[in-house]
Amino acid sequence: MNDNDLVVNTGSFPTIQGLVLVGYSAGIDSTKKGITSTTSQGSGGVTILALFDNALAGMAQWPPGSGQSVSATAIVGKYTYIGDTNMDGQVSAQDYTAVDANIGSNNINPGIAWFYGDTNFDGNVTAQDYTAIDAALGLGAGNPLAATVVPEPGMIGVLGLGMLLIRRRREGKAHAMQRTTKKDRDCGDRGMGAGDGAGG
Amino acid sequence: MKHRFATLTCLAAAATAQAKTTVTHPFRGVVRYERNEPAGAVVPRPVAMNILEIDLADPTIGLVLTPSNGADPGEVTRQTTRDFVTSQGAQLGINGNLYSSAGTGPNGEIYRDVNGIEVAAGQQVSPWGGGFAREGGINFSASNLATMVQPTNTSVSNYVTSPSLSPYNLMGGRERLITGGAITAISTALNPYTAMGYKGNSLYLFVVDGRQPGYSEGMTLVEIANFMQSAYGLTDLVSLDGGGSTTMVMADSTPRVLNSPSDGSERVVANNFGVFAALMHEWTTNGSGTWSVTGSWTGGVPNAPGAAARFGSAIALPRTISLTSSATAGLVEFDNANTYTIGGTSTLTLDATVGVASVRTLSGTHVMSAPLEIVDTTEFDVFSGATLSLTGSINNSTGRTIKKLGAGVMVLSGPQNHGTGAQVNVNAGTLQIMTDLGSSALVALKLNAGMTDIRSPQHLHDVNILGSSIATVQAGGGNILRARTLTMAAGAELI
Repeated sequence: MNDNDLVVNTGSFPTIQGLVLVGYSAGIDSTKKGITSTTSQGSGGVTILALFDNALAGMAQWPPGSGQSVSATAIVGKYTYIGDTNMDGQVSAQDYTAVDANIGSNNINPGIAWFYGDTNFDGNVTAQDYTAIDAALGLGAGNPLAATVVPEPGMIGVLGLGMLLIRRRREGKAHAMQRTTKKDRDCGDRGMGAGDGAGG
Repeated sequence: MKHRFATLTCLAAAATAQAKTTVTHPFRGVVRYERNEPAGAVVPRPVAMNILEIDLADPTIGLVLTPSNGADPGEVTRQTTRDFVTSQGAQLGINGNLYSSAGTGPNGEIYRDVNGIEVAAGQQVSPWGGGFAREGGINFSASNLATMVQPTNTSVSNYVTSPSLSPYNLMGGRERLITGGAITAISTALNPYTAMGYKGNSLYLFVVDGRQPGYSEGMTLVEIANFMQSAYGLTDLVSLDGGGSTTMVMADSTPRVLNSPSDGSERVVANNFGVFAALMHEWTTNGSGTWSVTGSWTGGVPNAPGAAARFGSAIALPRTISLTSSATAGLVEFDNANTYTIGGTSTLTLDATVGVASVRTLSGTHVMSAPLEIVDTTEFDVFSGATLSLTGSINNSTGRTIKKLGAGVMVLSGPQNHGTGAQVNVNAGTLQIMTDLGSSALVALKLNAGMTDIRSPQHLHDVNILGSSIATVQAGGGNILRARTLTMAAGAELI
């Protein structure tokens, strides 16, 4: 798919995610099958086709604001950086928000896990999910990855609505984590479990 | 030289030809090779050969053999090859097997027994029994699949074949010259000969003239076998009757004899083998022009369902043939290193009378910029090294299938309109999609093999990437692939 997005209106999320994961490589690998990205492979695998199940996300259009409607049950893949949890095409401090809000969540529905901050695709949001964001922080800044059809001014807002719903369930935890700076996090990752547990 | 057959218009040209092979495409799926070879070129004596290569997979090709004469004496009523072609309404014909007399009828009929097997359209005409050591024949199934067969025992008179099959159109011959890729010819007598053989779906009908010193002095069956194997790659070949019986007829207008029979006139033989084929209209002007001008084509303007239009060797520079009024064809064929552009604003409708419509690009890079109307499923067969660009609009509102065949490249860059159930199938080679195939999301993209290069956003109904085929969505970020469903085989790639 190179750096393009994918919309499958009645697809199976596990099937498509399986195709993406089997095709992913952190380096050039022509033996990969499934859904691959030469662009991603050429950039050291810092990007991936990030998937969500629209039955859980409720997007009306893709890209948001493009005028291109998307099925309520679509599987949507956005080509973006691993760690771009809000799918705005860049990795910034805002992407920590999802992890902050949902850390400790386990067995998350894979169809929405990306937005929960599950950056390592293990179905749980743990301190390890900060690692991908840390590693990619700053990628896309000033030049975010986005479908060129239309800018995505409404995207963050739309996704933010979903994230707000998530945060409401974990309000206290989220507030604590949102105040954490990257430097704090880098230093505190190893101790975050204890701190988080104490604050939760 | 014994050019005694005065009605053969080809003789004058043939007599003066020097080591010349003339290749023509008189019918859809038919290539004629007219070879005049001086001494030493093919064999140590001058020979004139006529060879027809017939695509048995072409849906417009049909076969016919001399029928049984029923309750009359003997097996068949004798007939010249030309009369046979005329009476059957066929376009091509050659003489059949050896024969013997079987009496006469009250109205001057002369009956014959065929010296070997023949089955015509499933009807038994003559059993094995030629008595030749390497007797054989070629059977054509109802779907024109060719198989070399032989009797299980050369001393028996029956219809049992080896390999075992139910004969449909079976023309027996005197000697198997090539069998399964091996030379099996044994006869070294020098004569005019008729032979038929095949490689895959390509049937070859062969005649070499003889007994005409200085013009064509014949070949041995061993020489014919070696020549047809080395020059045309035949895997199976059987000789039919030769000598004065050797005759090849073509009805590109009035049926005419292509070769120079050694009797000096066309012999009345026992059985014949005929081919039905659709006339090929070939562009003949070395220049740009208008599709509808009669004088620019052999056989008149192609403009009817099933009509076959060929753009071959006529041009020496890139040329444009414009549609100033709508035209219809079942086959369009390109074969030139210089570019043909089928332009204009009027519509070219692709409409077959049998089977599917077809656009074949045998060589070169060619463009169809005129609007295309797809009425039937259409196969776009682009041979290795060739390119076909469809830059004009495509209206497939009836939801037919567009199939990309061949190892070459096809580019779709014009506006697309596909109806419910439409498919774009890639079976081989490369398809570049430069435009949205399915703005109405009704077309399915089915990739059975080869590569598909998607260079624009797509709204598709279904995407099936099967086998080991590869779909590449070109980088750019805007080529969003949208589909109702996505199916991928284990070995497929979506890059």
